[in-house]
Parts: sequence; C-alpha cells; structure tokens
Amino acid sequence: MRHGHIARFIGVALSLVMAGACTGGGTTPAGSPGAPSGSLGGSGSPGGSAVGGYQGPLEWWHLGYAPGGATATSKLVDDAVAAYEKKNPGIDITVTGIPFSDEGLARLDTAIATGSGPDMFRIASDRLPSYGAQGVLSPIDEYLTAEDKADILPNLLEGVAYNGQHLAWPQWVPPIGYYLNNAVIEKAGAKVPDATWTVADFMKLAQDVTGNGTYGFATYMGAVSVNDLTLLYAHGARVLSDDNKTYTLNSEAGAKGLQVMVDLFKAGAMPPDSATIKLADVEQGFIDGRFAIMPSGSGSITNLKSKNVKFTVLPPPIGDAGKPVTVGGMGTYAVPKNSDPARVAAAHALGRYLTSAEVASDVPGWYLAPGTRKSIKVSDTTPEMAPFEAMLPNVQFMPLIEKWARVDAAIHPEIQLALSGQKSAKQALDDAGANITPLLGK
Amino acid sequence: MATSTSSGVSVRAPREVPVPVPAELLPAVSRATNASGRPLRRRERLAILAILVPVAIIALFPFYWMVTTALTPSSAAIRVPPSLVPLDASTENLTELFRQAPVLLWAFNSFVIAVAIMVCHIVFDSMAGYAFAKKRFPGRNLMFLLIVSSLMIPVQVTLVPRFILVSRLGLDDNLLGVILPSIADVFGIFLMRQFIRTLPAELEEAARVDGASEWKVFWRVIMPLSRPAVATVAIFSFVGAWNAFLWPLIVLSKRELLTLPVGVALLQQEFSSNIGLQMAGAAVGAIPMIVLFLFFQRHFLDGVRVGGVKG
Amino acid sequence: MRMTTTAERVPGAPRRGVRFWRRHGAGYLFVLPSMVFFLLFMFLPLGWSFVISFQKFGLAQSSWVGLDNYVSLLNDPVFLQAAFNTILYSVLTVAVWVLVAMVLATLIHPLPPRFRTFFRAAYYLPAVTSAVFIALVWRWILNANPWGLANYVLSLFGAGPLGFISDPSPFLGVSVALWSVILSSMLTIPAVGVVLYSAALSGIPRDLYEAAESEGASAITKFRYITVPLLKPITLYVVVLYTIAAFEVFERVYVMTGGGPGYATNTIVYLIWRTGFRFGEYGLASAEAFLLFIVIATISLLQFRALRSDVEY
Repeated sequence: MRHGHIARFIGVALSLVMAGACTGGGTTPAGSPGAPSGSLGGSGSPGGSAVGGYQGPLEWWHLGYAPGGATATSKLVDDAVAAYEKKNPGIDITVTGIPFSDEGLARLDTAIATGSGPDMFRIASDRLPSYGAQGVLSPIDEYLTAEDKADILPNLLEGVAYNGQHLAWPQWVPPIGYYLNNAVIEKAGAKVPDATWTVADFMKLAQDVTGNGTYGFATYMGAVSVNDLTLLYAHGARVLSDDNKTYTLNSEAGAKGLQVMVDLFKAGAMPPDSATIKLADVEQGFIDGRFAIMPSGSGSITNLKSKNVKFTVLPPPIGDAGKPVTVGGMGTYAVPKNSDPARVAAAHALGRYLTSAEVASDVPGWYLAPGTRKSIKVSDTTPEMAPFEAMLPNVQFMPLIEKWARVDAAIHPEIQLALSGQKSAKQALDDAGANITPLLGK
Repeated sequence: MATSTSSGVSVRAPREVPVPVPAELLPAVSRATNASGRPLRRRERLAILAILVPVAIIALFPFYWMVTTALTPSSAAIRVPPSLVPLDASTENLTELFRQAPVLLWAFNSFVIAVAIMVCHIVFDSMAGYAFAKKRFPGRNLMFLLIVSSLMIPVQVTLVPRFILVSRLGLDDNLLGVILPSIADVFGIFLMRQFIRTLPAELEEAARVDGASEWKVFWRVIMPLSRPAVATVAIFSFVGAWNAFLWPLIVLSKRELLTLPVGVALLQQEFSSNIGLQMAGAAVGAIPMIVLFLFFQRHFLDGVRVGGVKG
Repeated sequence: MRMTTTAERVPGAPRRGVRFWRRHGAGYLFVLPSMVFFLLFMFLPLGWSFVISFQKFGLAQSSWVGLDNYVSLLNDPVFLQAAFNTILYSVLTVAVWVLVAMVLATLIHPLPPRFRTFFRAAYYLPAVTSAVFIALVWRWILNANPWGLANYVLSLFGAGPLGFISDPSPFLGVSVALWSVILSSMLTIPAVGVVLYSAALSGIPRDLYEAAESEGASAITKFRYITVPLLKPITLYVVVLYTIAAFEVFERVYVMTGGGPGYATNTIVYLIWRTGFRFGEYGLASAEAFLLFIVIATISLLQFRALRSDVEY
C-alpha cells in the first residue's frame, strides 16, 4: 500500500525524536540558575579568594556570541573564559549566545524580568534604565572597591547610574567615528582631511568622490542605533533636554543636521537603498569600495583590518556646535538578582574582571573600544583606537530613560522618510516628537 | 486552512497553509467526470500550455534564483548585469554557512518540533475526531461547536497570554514551549471526524464483542482504517510545524535552540551583506520540505481534498 | 490508558453515576486532551488577552488603564497606517489570488492527467516552503541596487532603477514599498486555491458544458456562466481562507522590510509583534490584537452564516 511510505516515515521520525529527546536534553538550557551544585563546597576551597569562595557554574549570556570561536569576538570571549577559569579554579562558566537582534534583546528582557535569566550578561548602557525601573538587577555599588572608584573615569561611572545606584560594570565606550576609505578618496583625486574637518568639508568630499558606482556617504538608519544622529548632534541637537523631560531633536540644529543627509541623498551621494540599508551592508560596501565614508563604532576596526582596507578614522565633522561632537553608548556587564549571595558575588567578580586592565593583558585585543578605566590604554595594542580614545571627552550618551527603546524606534522611521523626501526635515522630527512626547511622562 | 494546521505553530501563516475542505462545499455531483467536455484539440492544448507554462516558471523562479544565488560567490552576486546561471559556481556559501551558523542544530530542532507536533496531532486529533464521530455523550455538540469556533480566534490575539503562560511554566527558550501550545488542532479534529463517520459500525461492534477495550477499539480498529486521513493530518502537521515562524520566533532565543526558519531569518540580520550565505540558508531550510513534497506529492494534493471524502 | 469496556455490564444495576460513566466516560476521555488544549491555549488566552488590553501590563506588576490603550491606538497615525496597509494588502492580494486560482484550475482541468499532475505539483511547491525563505528571495530580487534582478529587468526596458522596498514615495497614493510587497505576494501562486478549485471542477457535470457547446458558447462564456456560478460555494470558502491569511501577514513584512522605510509597510500583525515582543508593551499589543480579532471574527461569522445552509456539523 502506498501508505506504507507514510508509516515508515513516521516510524523513522519517531525513533529520531526519541533519540533527540535523549541527546537533546543536553542542548536544552538547564534554564534557571541556582543549580544544586551552586551553593555547596564554598568553604575552605583554595583559590576562591577573588570570588568569595563560590564554586560552581556561572551562566553568562552574550549578544552575538557563537560557540566554538566562530567569530573573532566569540574567540575573545572564549579566551577570557579560559583565562578566568584558570585563575579561579572551581568556577565553571557557560557562555550562551543571544541573537544580536531585536528579538534577542526582547527575550533577554523577559528572561531577566521573570527571573529565568543568566548570572551575568553583556548589555548596552541605554537599556539599563528599564531594568533599573523593574529592580531586577543587583547594583555594583556594594562590590565597587576604592580602587575601582579611583580607576573608573567618573563621568563614565555616571553613565551606568540610575536612581542613585550603579547598575552594571562599565566596560568600554564605543563612540561613533567617521571611517574614510583612503583608496576610494585618493582615486577620486581628493585628499583625506584631518580631525578639524567641518560639515561643509564633509559634504563637499562626499559629493566629490561620488560616481562610477561609488557613493560618498552611507549610514545605517534603522532601529537601535545612533549612527544617523551624528550629523544632528554635530550641529548641537540633542534628542532630549538635560532633564530627559522634553523632546528637543526637532530644534533648528536638528533639522539642519538632518537636512545635510537629505541633500546628500538628493545629490545621489548616498546609496539608493539608504532608508533600509542594514548595518553590515554599510560596512561591506565600505570594504568593497562602494562607499567612501561611513559612521561606525570602533568595533569595525577589526573587520576592516582583516580585509586589508586602508582607512582613516576621524571624529564626526564639526558643525554649528563648534567642536567635534560624537554620540555613543557604553558596553556594560550586568548581574541580575539571585537568591544565592555567593553566586551573585561571584558574578560581580567576573564582571569586574571583564572590565579591568587585567583581562586586557590576559586576552590581547579584548578591548574593541576605549576602556572606562584610567589603567586601560587600548591604543597601546591597537593604534587605530587612538582617534576613538581622543573622542571620549566629547561623547554624548543617549538619555538613560526607561522607554528609550520606543523613543529610538520613533526617530529612525522619520529620518528615513525625510531622507527619501516624503517630509521636510523639520516636519519629520516634529512627527517623531509627537510619538515621543507621550512616552516622557506627564 | 489559513487557520492552524497546528493551531499555534503554523499560526495562520500569512502564506497559505494547506487545507482540507469539507465535502459539502464541492458541487454535489458525482465524481465521475474525468475532465470537462470533449478531449482538447491540439491547438487548444497549446494555447492553454502557453499560459500555464509561464505561470509555472513564475511559480518556480524564486526557488531557482535562491539556488542560483546560493551557488554564486558573494562577490559575483553583485555583478551587473546579474547572471541567470550561477557564475563561478561553488559551494563556498554552503561551507561558510555551516561554519558560521549551527544549521544542523537548527534543522534538528525543527525536526524534533515538527515530529512531536505531528505525533500529538495524530493521537489527539484522532481521539477527539473519533469521539465526535462515534460516541454519544451529553455536551458533545457543544464541545464540537466550541472547538470549531476557535477558528475565529486569530492566533495573534493569544500570543501575549500564551507567552506569559509558557514562560510561567518555565518553558520559554525551550523546544517544549514551541510544541505544547500546538498539540491539537481544529482541522485535524474536523478531518478525522468526517472520515471516521464514514466507517461502518460493524467492525467496532465486532471488536467489542470480542472483549476489546475502548482504547483497543480506537487504536486497533479505527486508526488502521483511518490511515488516509491520518496520513493527511500527519503530513500537514509536519509541514506546518516545520515552516512555523512567529511562535518559535517569540519563544526561542538562544542561538542553538532556534528552528531553521527563525535561524535563517536571523542570518539575514547578522550577515545582511552576504546574500549568498542567506540564500544558502534559505535553500537548506526549503529543500527538505520540497523533497518531502516530491516524495509524497500525491498525499499532499489528495490531502487538500481528503476532507471531501463523503460516506 | 485503559477504559471501561461495555462488555462487563453487570446485572444488579450499579448506581446512576457509575452507569453514566460506563456509557459516556470513554467519549469524555477521548476528547479530554483536545478540550484541555483548546481551553488552555485558545480560550483562556483569548479572555486573558481581553483583560490585558485594559491594563498597562508588566511581567512584574500591572495597573488598570481603562480604555487608554484603545484610545491611544485609534489616535495613533502609525497604527492607522498599519490598518490601512493591511486592508489594502488583503483586498488586492485576495482578489488576485482567487481570480488566478480559479483561472489556473480551469485551465488545468481539461488537460490530460499527467499534465494536470505536473502543473498542480509545480504550483503547489511554494505552499510547502516557509514564507520566510520565499520572502528572503523576494527581498533579494527587489533590492534597490543595479544588481537587483528586478532593477536589471527594468533596465532592459530602459526604465528604473527603482528603490522598490526601500522607497516610501507614493505611487497612486500608496508607497512604492507597499506596492512592492503586495506585488511579491501576488506573484506567489495561490496553491491551495488551485487544488481546491481543481477538486471542485471535477464535480461539475460535463453535460452542462456539452449543452452549452451545442449552443455555440465560447470558452469564456462557459467560464462566466457555468464554471463561476457553480464554484460559488468553494469561492466563498477560498475568499475567507485567503482574507484571514492576508490579514495575518507577518513573515513577508518581517523579512522584506521590517515595516519600513518609515512606516510604509507596517501591518497589524507586525505591529502586534513589535509592540508586544520588542517593546514589552503587552497591554497595548493586546489591544491591537483585539482589534484584529474583531475584524477576523466578523469575517468568519459572515462565512459561517453564508455557509450554514450547506454545512452540517
């Protein structure tokens, strides 16, 4: 009978599932921290000095991590884990990758909120306030030593503060710099400018090098990014007022900064899919020589070097603000609350290690952006980092407010609409404000 | 059935999902006519083919283009003009795909989920279908009406509470969290009921006289006789669960726990500049179902109509 | 799982409850798993979702906000545009799908069996493939660069390049991006429709056509006056099926555009997902979902009403 096929198929499938149920048990996450091995054996074990005697597993969730050293960043994570475990026998760290995407972040949020999250996770500082508002994190204050306080740059420590508590270990500050593709610019007969370049210089350069399939400027303008805000900030615009109560991006400065991109796009100096281009596509186009200038964080250095691209990093061009201004966030390590204090302490100890000068010497190349401590000088090992370190005093952080994700999501679509000429720059920023103002509270 | 090959999972997919159709909807005339009217003249047949062939090309072209791009190294994929055959064809993208992403693990997850949901549908849908077809008990019609009326509930309405439910059960980021909200399904029940109703009562009675328990009657007598309908339920459940997207997207987040569609959609974000890699991922995700379809083609096409079997 | 057998009926009249259970227990046990499932995963969430839609809901704590969620949605241009996009998408794709399915099935029907099998299979193939994969290919075909296949084809006619899914500028009052998404849907063969119509066509008696032919009716006349009217019940079914599917479009938007550029291709389900699972605004997402529910339930009810005379349960 022809149904024999089906029966056989189901049979095979079933047996495979049975097999899967057995082996699959290993791949399914054990889920909740607080596994039994956690609390035992604390006392009297040697080598536990740094971690307060805790021995056992630690769950570390890392955005974009792929096991087995598949990517350069993942390799660094693996190396750091190995180094730490060697120094702290008895600690068994499991790193789990969370997709570097909206869903990944959303899932992380839920896991933290429902208490099924990890012992420690890596997160951008702009997402800390929503955790702070829910009270789900274990603040670092209790674990900050006097040395830490003296070492961490004070303005950066404030970058993780929310309601008087410091919520996470600040690791690094990746400000947005402007990458210029030397070969493309020289081929077009133009000259690579220096850090004193102005918005007018930038516009002229971008248009001069455009042609023959090359676009002078490309930037990502989608969700969860600040790259497209650099030109607005250059003119002195800010998303919110200093007290985070008022939306201010629709200022004259904001509209003027946005108009720069609108004009470039209209002049054909930005790629046709600018409104929807993805982050990695911008970088790939830069590598391929199709884009001459792109705003990007210091993380791009590694990739560009590995592809043998000759490039220059400059601060964003100087606009009406009169000095180079850049935007950025901060990479941090946060520790969710947990009923086992020893385990929380161990997670904090790991957090301190991963943001220290110690890890920099254990794991060469660990810092992909300028560190937050005076004791760390990333440009010693990665000279390309120098321009980014120089930008640190001029970094504007995005506001630390609970609803930042929605504020962010209201801005970029309007920038896209302005770019493609559907609205004036001012109108677009006003419309973004109409969505944002209700989020800022009464 | 836009609604639920697997009520939660296939989530009334925005694409169409295969549907069994109630026989009552078909023109109520004998099934005897093989084709309408007289045999076609040669000229007429050519005219029809002149329409159908191009349409078939349009239907299949995305698959061709997917495979072509998957076999084209990324540098060649952005050449102008694009080439309709793979240039410098190589398996570079595939190698890279397997290096960059746990594709086999994703396929394994998809498979486990699809098989588990399929088995649940076979068992639970048939049980319910059997009871609704052959048993008399107070409240039967009400329950059946209740189940059928759930067709009106778009799965999207239930997403938030379901997610809360699943995460309270500690099943978020767990394959069980994908499987559990999909263990029974309206059309399977409807289909099994329609089919089992046509089975003569004598066989059941004979088994009962021989002292078989109710479960034995169901499992040893009804199920073997219902094989065509079970095959349909099995196949559509499997395909629906394999292709499901929205619910797994919500429930699963760890990279090694994703299913193929979710994982491949993620590749699009992580490797947006590498179109060859994305297309290789799409091909790896699509080909198992295409092979399954070619193998069981008849069941698929009959299956869509099997609900039309009438006693 | 063992159940009482009717064979062990004992004389001496057991109590009523026991008798009831012996007669009907098996029936209840057989429907039990499914009933539990439907109550737990369909009806409970439906009610719960309704409750949540009146709350500012958080996983930690929630508060009642009355109709606030609904009011803010109905005043939110982003939501209203998503609703408009969804309706336009549904009306256009469903109209084209139903027409295409009917015409294709009619054309396939008179062919010799091996041709019929081939075409049905070819047209059905997209239906067994996850919409994610299809949408990925369309995104690639419609990319705005000169190496995008669609733009290359345009360039052969001296037209373009177009931004397609990157272009929010209006064409006939609707953004190019939305037109592109709609077009990509229309070009996906309505496989299930073709198969259903094929099944229905084999039920139409040939003497009807023969009679028409003897009176000299053309192929189009026959289609218009015999095929279409006789297919009406199945057409209604197909229309409802596709309308519901279209209203729930998600993968295509998620993969092809992410709702952008701007808000040009947002749809309701995409918004629900974004509001709920990206921003964690569960209350607002539930309100959005409930508005969708009202539309879909209305469509379904109309279907049930229209079909009530034909379908027995």
